[in-house]
Amino acid sequence: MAIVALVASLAAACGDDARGELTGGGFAAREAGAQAPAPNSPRRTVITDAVGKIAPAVVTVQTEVVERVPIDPFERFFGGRTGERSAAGIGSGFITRSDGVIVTNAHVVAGATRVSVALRDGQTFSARVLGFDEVNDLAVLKIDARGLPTARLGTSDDLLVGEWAIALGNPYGFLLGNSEPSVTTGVVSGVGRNLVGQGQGAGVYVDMIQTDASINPGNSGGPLVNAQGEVIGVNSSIYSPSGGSIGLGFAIPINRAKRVTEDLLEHGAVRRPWVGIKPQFPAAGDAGRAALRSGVVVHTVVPGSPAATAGIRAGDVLVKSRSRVLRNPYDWDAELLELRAGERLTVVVRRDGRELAVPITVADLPEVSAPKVQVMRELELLTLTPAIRTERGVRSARGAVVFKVSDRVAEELGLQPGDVIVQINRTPVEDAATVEKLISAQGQRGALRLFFERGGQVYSSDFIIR
Amino acid sequence: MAIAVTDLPLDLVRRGKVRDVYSVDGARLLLVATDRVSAFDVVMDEAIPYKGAVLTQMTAWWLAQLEGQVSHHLISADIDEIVREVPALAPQRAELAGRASLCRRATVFPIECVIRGYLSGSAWKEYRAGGTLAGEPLPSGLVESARLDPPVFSPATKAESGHDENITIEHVREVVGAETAAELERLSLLVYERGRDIAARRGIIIADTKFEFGYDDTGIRLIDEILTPDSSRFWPADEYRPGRPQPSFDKQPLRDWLDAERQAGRWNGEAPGPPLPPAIVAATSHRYLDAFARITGESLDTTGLA
Ligand SMILES: Nc1ncnc2c1ncn2[C@@H]1O[C@H](COP(=O)(O)OP(=O)(O)OP(=O)(O)O)[C@@H](O)[C@H]1O
Ligand SMILES: [Mg+2]
Repeated sequence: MAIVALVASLAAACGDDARGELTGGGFAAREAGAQAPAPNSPRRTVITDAVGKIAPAVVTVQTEVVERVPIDPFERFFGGRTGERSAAGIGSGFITRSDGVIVTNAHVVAGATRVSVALRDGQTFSARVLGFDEVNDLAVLKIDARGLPTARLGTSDDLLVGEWAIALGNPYGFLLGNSEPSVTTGVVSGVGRNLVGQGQGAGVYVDMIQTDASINPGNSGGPLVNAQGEVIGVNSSIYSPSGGSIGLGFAIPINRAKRVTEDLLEHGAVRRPWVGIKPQFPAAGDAGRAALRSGVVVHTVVPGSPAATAGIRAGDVLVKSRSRVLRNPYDWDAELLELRAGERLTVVVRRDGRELAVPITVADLPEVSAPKVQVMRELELLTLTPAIRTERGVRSARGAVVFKVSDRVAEELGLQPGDVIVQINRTPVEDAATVEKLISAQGQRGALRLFFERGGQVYSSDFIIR
Repeated sequence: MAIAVTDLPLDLVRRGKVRDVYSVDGARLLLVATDRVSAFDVVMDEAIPYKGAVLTQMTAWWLAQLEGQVSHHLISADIDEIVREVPALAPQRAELAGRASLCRRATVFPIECVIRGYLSGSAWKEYRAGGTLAGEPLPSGLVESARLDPPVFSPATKAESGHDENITIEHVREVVGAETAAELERLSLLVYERGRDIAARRGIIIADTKFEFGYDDTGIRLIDEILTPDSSRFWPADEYRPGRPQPSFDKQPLRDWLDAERQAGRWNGEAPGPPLPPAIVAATSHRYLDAFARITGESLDTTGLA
């Protein structure tokens, strides 16, 4: 059960290793002028063929990050400091559109102030982050280019446990003469894997492809392909323990990645589907284990949500959604990842010994549909409501939720969509309008300190309005 | 699982486009709404999950609302009760749950009692051509889909095949007698107006509907299905814009998809219909469930349903 928490920290440590390797030159560059074996060479296999097909579309993603160090939430009232730390990161990605659309992991580009991409032929481009989705660990980048080789996307719906799984990455593409991707191989060890972390900050990762191909920070963001060279998943090292040496790597199913990518391309943000059901997580022990097989007990229905409109009640047990049988809350999480805003789904619930077919129309998360207040054309905010608060697990009772930020504000303030602004200087933020007022009133008079909640922690950031 | 055809140990009286009718005995019929769906007069190969149960249970719900005001044919739409009455059906319980209704057999009046609360379909055509509806003049200047107040009784023949033909009220009088004609009109209007009001409050416009009546030794009874999406035109109220045709609450995704298939030259508009993609089947099922939930205020009970 503690796998994920462990994984997260190992992955971070590993990131440093990879960089160490890079600067230390601890790898063998491919010798210039080496001859490729003839097409009929017995050394050619289904693997080398698959690699040959996908390799041209695999790229290196390099980032520069300025990290902000969190401060203690209580210290904020006494003007606590924010630290800053600069670091470089590296990962992989793959080209999905010949005009320069690239898919990678969100964690590869998270918080990056600069992102660049190196192609297999050594060309490098500076990249724009079109959007990223931390929940699914996916990001979409764009470089200005044409006629690029693209990866063939397969489907993750019909994966065979035991079929070849080839993980590609290109972590060293910035080094001349080292343009070949790195390849690790294995099989699809499992599908629909749900990983549960424990303790603070540990997440739940659902419906992942498990493979024994080594997945590491270097090939993270790169493609996991089948024997036909079609992408079946996006490697993700934050789910995978270090180096894959214990035969446990995870990738995000390509079907989910396709959906998220489409959303990011169309809306610049993932349209988060909203149903408004909070499942009850079973207790530990035998009773809990039994409960993991008998459906999803509804703990809370968010007021005003699609589930509430559809008449779902606390205590209902969800047993089926569309064609997915729901045995436990993780099945529900997996279902949510596949749903799209606007989709109409039918959920079968058990209530008082009867079964009911409940039609629900999936909405956009309230952040997306709520009216917004525009601040200085750079920041779109909305007032924290009980619904948003429950939905996102925000701790602060009042505040303004960041809906959109300009690149400049994102860069200078370190703000991200989803952050909740709770205080400016010494004034608590009551709602979105307060932020506007405080900024326009006090902006003239020098520096402002902004406090915001992200992932349950409060951070601060100083800025001056020009 | 959706059910397209039933095969029960009873005498089959008829298979309609959607419903299978069986004879239980001289006095009773078993009406089974299957999950078949038709569009543009073609019955599709795919069945729509929950559709049959929606039709049957919605009919039962309306009749419960009308209890005491209209005498009707329904004995029970509850599977436990039906199996108690007709034990031979026990093995098919899961297939019949929700979908079947046990009814008093009646002698059917050969008339479709259509009520129009909005000007649409063939009624709009008639009005546009000559300013009348069912042969009676209507105010001038009405646009397509305009609301009609009061609603209009616009009877049709019960054609065995092909389309029902609109007839005049005079014609109805000739067929059933003046007194019965007046009673059929009165009952049709009463039930429709009741239905229109209830549905409107829940976001559904019942634009028009068709009732059937029969009689037995006790008198006239309301028979067949009542105020269902299949016997009526349901429109989403929030999309209502007079002056054009309205989307169908229940069948629009299906029709739009079929239209596209036809325009792409992949379907000639005749049976057999093209195979429906799962998304269209799911969307249609959702619409029927949604119509049920809105109108009755409850989700469809699917306990024991196969
Ligand atoms: N109580 C009753 N007594 C006698 N006949 C009845 C009774 N209730 C309904 N019926 C008849 O049962 C038949 C139902 O089958 P019908 O052919 O209408 O099915 P359907 O699926 O609605 O088909 P279609 O779409 O062609 O109308 C109708 O002809 C109706 O008149
Ligand atoms: Mg009929």
